Amino acid sequence: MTKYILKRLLLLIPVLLGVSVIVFFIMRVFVPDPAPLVLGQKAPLAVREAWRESHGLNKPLYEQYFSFIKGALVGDLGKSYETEESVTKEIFSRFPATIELAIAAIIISSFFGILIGVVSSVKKNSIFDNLGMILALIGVSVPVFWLGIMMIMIFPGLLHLPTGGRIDVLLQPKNITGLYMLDSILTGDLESLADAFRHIILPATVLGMYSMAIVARMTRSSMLEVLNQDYIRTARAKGLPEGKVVQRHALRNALIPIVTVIGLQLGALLGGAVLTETVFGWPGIGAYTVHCITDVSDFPVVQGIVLLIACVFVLMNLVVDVIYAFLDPRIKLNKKEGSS
Amino acid sequence: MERKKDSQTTTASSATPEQKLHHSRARDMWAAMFDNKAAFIGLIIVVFLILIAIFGRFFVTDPTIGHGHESPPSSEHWFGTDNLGRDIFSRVIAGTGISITVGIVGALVSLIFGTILGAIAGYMGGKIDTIIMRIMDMVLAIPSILLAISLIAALGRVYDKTVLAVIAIIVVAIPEFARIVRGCVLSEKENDYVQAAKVIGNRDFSIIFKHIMPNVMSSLIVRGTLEVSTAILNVAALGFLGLGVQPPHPEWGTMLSDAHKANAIFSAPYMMIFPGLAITITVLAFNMLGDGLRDILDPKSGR
Repeated sequence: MTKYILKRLLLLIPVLLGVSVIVFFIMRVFVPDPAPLVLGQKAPLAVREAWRESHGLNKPLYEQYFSFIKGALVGDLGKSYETEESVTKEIFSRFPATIELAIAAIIISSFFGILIGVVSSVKKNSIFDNLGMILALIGVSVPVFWLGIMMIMIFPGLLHLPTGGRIDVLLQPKNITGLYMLDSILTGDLESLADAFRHIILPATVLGMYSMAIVARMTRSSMLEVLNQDYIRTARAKGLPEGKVVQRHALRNALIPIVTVIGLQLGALLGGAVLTETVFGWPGIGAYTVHCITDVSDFPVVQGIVLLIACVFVLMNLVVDVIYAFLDPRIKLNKKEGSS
Repeated sequence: MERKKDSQTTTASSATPEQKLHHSRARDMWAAMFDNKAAFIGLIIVVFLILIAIFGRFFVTDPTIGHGHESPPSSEHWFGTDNLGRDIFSRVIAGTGISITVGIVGALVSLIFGTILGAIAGYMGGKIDTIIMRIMDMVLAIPSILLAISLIAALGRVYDKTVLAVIAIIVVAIPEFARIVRGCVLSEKENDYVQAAKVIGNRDFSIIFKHIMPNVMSSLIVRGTLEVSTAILNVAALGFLGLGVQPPHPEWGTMLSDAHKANAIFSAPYMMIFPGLAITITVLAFNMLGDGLRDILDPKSGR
């Protein structure tokens, strides 16, 4: 097992290096001189020159790339063009907001996705099944930003929910993890917890909608397959109540592919966060990326964020594969290695 | 079954056996299509949308001309007019052409590139396979919307943003097709019939396209149909971020972006409701058709 994980980790290196090349290429080769974009067309030549010098843009491209990689390995991603602060600092001051949103979205989508999938499969072809699958179909079809706008139109008025930000400024809990809900639990501040919850519920639901639909479909088809197995018939034949058959025998076995799908949704969620955060004014790295790209051409930050998200994404894929192997003893990792 | 046999014998008298087989397969597909409710509804909506895309503009006013100020839906302007007084109904109709074209062309081009890359990787194997598939992994490791906005941000000042948006949508979809085709080529490559074709002197190119590709066709059609909806969603998302099809072209995502910037969410909700509904219905139709086609063509693959 350890050998397998190590081997997979080693294989990640070329992929991540490749991602860094792609991002660097897009940001630095396509835009050879960002000075006029950042400082404005009218900035005097001497100022531009000094600015380029301070950001190391006068060196040859390959040297710039190597210093980018060397820095990235020790967590130094350069300086932001906009604020002249360290990129790492800029990113990590906003990353917890995105993580909190993504975790909330995963919880919502897994809970409701599995619930809908199980009900659909147990009551196959009933009205619940049809409604559940129609909801899942809409979930994969509706654009996330439009769903967000519709939610803002309907719910805040009905339920008195806030439509922007993470928390009321006055209620902000002490910063421990940066995840406000967790921080307010740790400090025992129930008022903050309630306020953070009211802020996160709409954006997390919107962000989780697509994943919920995917999880619901996967759960349904996985459950239907399992429910046809002999051991389910045996469990029923020995007189187990249907609830127990579904919970203990069917869902447990059906969970393996479902867990995989949930894990793989993280990539979709981080991508969807770009749009959701823009609609809800959520102060995470998604909205920040859009700001850095469209308003200020802050390319070092964009490079850093794309690299970070790619890291999270490939590591998550690896974690999913490992969990998969743990859950399903039939999978022999060594065999898989040999055949691939 | 009986009915099928009858019609086959009556129409097939002049056809070769190969044509006969082909005809009956196409007929089976049509029959299955009519049986699969979701696929059938999806197909009807898709056909309807394509008709709107082609002929819609003859029935509406010029989508770029303003008619006074912003106004709510009325008998004259069914969906109301936007902040520049342009008729939203005309703009939604005109937007159908843009989205459907981008969706279908985008999916088709990425299918072609993905197929070529996947076929080369699977057939050649070895180092070429590793290089191609590692590059595909790299593209897959970057969320598609991030890759697309980076591309447009870097090149958008020099090149046309609309063209860049379409290119970005094509690039991010290629790896999925390459994977499907490579997988199929790998599994077919070792079969006796491929070896036989090689022995009798067929060139690699003709082996891949004449003998192997027909086996992967159904997966590609299914994936391609679903990709149309992904492409439409992506171009709308880019439009919403202000990086897609540029104004005054009435692309649905760009329309939503304009409305969002004009703070229309409470003052003029109709500016946001209709373009979004149009995106949802179009994507829904292609998804229903794609899911249905999967059930018909590719029943093993599941969801």
